[in-house]
Amino acid sequence: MGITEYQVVKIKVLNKFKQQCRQWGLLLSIGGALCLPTANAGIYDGNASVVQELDYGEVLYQFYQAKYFTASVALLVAKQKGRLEAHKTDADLLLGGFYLAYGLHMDAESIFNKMLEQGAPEGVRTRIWLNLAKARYRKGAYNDAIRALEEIEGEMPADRKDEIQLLMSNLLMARGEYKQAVKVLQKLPSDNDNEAFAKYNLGIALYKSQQQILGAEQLDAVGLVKSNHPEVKALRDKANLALGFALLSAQDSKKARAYFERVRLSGPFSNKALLGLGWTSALQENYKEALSPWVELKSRTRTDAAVYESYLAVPYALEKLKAYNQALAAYDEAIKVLKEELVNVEHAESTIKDGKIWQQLIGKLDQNENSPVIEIKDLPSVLEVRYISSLIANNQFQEAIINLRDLQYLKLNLKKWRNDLPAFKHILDLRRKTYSERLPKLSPEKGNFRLAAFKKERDAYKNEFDKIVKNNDIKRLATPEEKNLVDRLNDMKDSLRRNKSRMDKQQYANYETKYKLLKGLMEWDIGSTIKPRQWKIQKQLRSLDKTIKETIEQQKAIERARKAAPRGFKGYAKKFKAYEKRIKSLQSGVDGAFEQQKKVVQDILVAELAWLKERLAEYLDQANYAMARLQDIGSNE
Amino acid sequence: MSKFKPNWLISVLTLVMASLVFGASFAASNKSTRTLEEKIQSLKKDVMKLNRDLFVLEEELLFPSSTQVAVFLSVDVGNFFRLDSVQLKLDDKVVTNYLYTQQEIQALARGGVQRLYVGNIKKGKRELVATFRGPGPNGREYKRATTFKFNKGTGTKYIELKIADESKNLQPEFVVKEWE
Repeated sequence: MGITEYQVVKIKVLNKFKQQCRQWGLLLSIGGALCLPTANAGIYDGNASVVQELDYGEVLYQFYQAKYFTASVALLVAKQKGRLEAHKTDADLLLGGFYLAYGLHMDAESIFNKMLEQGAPEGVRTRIWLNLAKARYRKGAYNDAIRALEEIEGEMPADRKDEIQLLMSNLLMARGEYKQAVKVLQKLPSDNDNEAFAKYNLGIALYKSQQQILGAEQLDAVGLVKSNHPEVKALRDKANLALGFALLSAQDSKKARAYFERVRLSGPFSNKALLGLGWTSALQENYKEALSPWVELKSRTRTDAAVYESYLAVPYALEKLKAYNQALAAYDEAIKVLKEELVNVEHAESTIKDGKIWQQLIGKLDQNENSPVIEIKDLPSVLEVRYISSLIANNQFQEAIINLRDLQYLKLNLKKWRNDLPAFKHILDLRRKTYSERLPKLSPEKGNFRLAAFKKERDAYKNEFDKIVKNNDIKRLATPEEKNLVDRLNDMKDSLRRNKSRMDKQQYANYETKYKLLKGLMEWDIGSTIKPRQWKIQKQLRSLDKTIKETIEQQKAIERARKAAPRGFKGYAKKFKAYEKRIKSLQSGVDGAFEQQKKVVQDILVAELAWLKERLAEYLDQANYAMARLQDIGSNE
Repeated sequence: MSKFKPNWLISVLTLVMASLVFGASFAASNKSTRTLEEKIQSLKKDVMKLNRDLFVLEEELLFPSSTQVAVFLSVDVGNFFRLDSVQLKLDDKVVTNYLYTQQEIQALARGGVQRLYVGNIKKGKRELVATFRGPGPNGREYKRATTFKFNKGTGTKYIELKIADESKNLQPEFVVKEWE
């Protein structure tokens, strides 16, 4: 290989590397990483308070499923109904957090500010300031976000301290104050949960504060982090890949190779690592060794540009190994594939520009508010994954899709309410009809008359009972059996009186004694149990009083309902009209925003495809040129 | 190639600088869509408010407090039982059958409370039967029914079904609680 050709190859490698930086978004996160691991971290401390109201528990149930819209609505409803009194402070803090997670940064900030103005307790203030800082960070109000973090004071759990420091470092970096960011990040304990993210940021901050060696060391450390967490694994691969390509561009193939070899073979960065690995061998003119990762890469599904590049890299290595026929065949294959891809990309581009893609893409957007935004498997068939693979991991694209999904959810939500309103009206009409039919039957006059009769009867019983008690008329408290016995004793007394003349004295005296004994026994039986008998009657009278009182209450309730019912029905017609109007107006607003958002997504997609077309055309030129050159060599030989 | 110094670390700087340029272009692009972003935020908030008002109206119309009964479900610890499904019978009539997703189970395990059923019943004595299914102790299929008799008065009746752990006999415990 001549010197000129060698330089051409190196320039090519470097150019590829630069292209890949852009294409893969490899270093995008280095420049602007907000390494806060989860979206809803800090919104709520799981055990901050025990659920004291069921509605609050329900809000948490929705929140724990990341259904921020539903959770917010449940919270607003419970608040309006006064069912969150026991969780007032937590509820406000949660609502602010939900708004933040749902992208309502301005409303979140307004809630947090209000809580601070109203003098939230010390422990809660920390959470408020932190959430406020996050809201401001997302709005791009970095100075205000830093001021919010500076308000935080007092004791707090270690993980929260770390979260605050991480956010502060990101804010400082966003303001270009890398030296200060380094100071903040260096204070973070090495055993914190976000160690890898912190080191990653520290590496970047060091770099940008002109401490490249230290920065590279940090990135190198990230490349060795052990973790089972998918996000950390991806970060590790990214760091290794970035360092690998950086070393490759610095002609240090040996060191570069070590970094590429650290990247997982099955991870999302494996294709790029295989490409880089091949180049480390190629730059050392070990083309046989370079073929191994490149052939493997070429055999893979064309999910990203690295695979495309292998179509050029393999014949290039074959050519260097002087396997001209095989190289020619491989270039021929590359030309066919690239041409085919160009046609496909152009087709995809026109489908997007014509707006035909939306029918497919919107259908793929999940109707659940908490579903993953968009995954590779969700893409419409016309939009091959490899065409927009770098967009899948791109924040701007993902946020655009999130907005689209949220607007789609709002559309469906409004449609549902619009369909439900007639049902509500129907229910109301039905109830109005039922009232109008039943109420006249519940004549209060008739009820009052019957109630008066009951009360009169009750009063009669009471008077009779009072007389019995006053006169100690125990016989009137006798049971029917006892009354029967009393009657029989009275009959016995009459019989004795009537037959006295016909009986001898002794016989009469015996019967009279017997009569008196039985009478005495009877009076004893009744007299000795008079108190329980009186108590029993009093209890029955009390029960009667209670029943009459309840009846009076019920009658009053019916009367109230009778009077209130027509009034209660009156307001609804107006309400329904107002709701219909609100729904229609919101539907129109959401539809408009949806169309505008589609345009945003469309522009991103078209720009990406245009860039890809350019790359494919360039690859095609290179393949055609190489093929022609090889054919020339063949004809000359 | 001469612009690349031998020290490989300097090259990483170049790499990072490239990313900065890239990052800046995104910031500019974001600015252009800010108005739309604000419009979307405002719409989201308005739809939320509408939902709040309509849910209140719905409850007023469909479930007035004089007839409303609401059944909630919560899980306390739940080491001895993993809920798969629950069936609710109110006065011997099946009113709901619910099958849980993994996400819902996790939300319950973290302390969330599910509003399982809302319906209307007349005043008086009522009976609620909840049948829980899922893997119980030792992973074996477990089915357990809990009966709860209650009196429906004039106010809304709130009932909470709580799945707890009975550590004494290492069995799940199904507790029913009435809320005021």
